Amino acid sequence: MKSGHDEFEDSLTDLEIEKLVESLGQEIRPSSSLRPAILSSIKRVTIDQIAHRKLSSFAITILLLIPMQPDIEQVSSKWRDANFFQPLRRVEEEIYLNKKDESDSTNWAAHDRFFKWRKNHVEQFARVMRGTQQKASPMTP
Amino acid sequence: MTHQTNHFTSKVQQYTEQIRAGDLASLSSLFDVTGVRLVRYATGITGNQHDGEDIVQAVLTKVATDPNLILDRDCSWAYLLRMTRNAAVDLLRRQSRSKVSDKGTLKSVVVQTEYRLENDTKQKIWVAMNRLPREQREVILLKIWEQMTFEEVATILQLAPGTVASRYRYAINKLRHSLASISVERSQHEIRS
Repeated sequence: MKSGHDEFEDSLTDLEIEKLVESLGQEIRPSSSLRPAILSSIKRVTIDQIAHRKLSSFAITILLLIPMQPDIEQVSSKWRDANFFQPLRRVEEEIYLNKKDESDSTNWAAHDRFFKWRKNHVEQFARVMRGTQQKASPMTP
Repeated sequence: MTHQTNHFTSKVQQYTEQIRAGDLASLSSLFDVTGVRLVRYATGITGNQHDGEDIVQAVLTKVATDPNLILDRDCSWAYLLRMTRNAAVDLLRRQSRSKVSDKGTLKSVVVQTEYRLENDTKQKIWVAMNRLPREQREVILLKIWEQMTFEEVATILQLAPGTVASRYRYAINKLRHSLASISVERSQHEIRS
C-alpha cells in the first residue's frame, strides 16, 4: 500500500523508507578505540576526584583546627610548664640553696644533672614530635 | 513504555547503580549495552562519527562521575539519550557560531556528511538523512533506529506527541522525494527482471 501520495505512484512506501533508514542505522558502529578512550578518561577523572576529595578533607581539617588553636596552645603551654619550667625552677632553687650552704663542687654537680636532664628532655620531645612510641629516659634532674 | 525500552532502562539503571556503589568495572558493561546506540544516535544528529564518539565519551564520563544524574530520573535510558542529544545540539550550535562570516552574516550550516558508506544506496540514504532539518532528523532517529513510540520520542525531545508525529510525517515525505532515485532504480530493476 502506498503512503497516500498518489502523485508519486512509483515512490517508496513509508515502510520501505523506514526499512532503508533502519538498514543505515545498522551500519554505524563505534570505532574500536572508543571504549579504551572512555575508560581511560573516566579513570583520569576519578583520580582527579579522589585527589580533590583528599585536598578538601585536608582543608577542612585545617579549618576545624583554626578555632581550636587557643585550646591547643593552652594544652601545649601546660605541658611545657609541667615538663620543663617546673623542673627548671626546682634546679634553680637547688642551685641557689647549694650556693648558700654547700661547696662549689656540689653546685657544679647540680648543674651537670640539670644539663643531663635537659638533653634527655629534648630527645623525648623530638620522639614525641616524630610520633614514636618509645619511652623517654627519666627526666628527673 | 515498550517492553524493549523497559528492559534496556532496567539494565542501564542496574549498571549505573553499580557505578554509584564504586564498581567502576560496571562502566564497561554500561558502555557495552549503550555504546552502539548512543554513538549511532549522536552520529545521526551531528552527521559526523568522530563528533558522535566525542559526545558519547563526554556523556558517559559525566555519568560515571555523577551517576545520580540519570538515577534520579524516571527513565534513566531516556535521560541518557536526552543528555546525548543535548550535547550533540550544543556541538552543532558551537560549530554554527564558528561559521559566522566576517561580515556578520550566518553562512548556511550544512551538516558535513563525513560518514562514508561503501554501499551506494546507503550512501544516498545517509545524504538524504543529513539534508533533513535537525528537528525532523532526530525524530526519525529515535522513531526508526531506537524503535520508540511517538510518546517516548516526545519525552526525550520535550515536545508534544502531536508535534513529534507531524515532524515525522514531514521527514518521511522529504525522504521520499530525496530517495526518488532509489525508487526509479528499483522500478527499472523490476522491469528488467
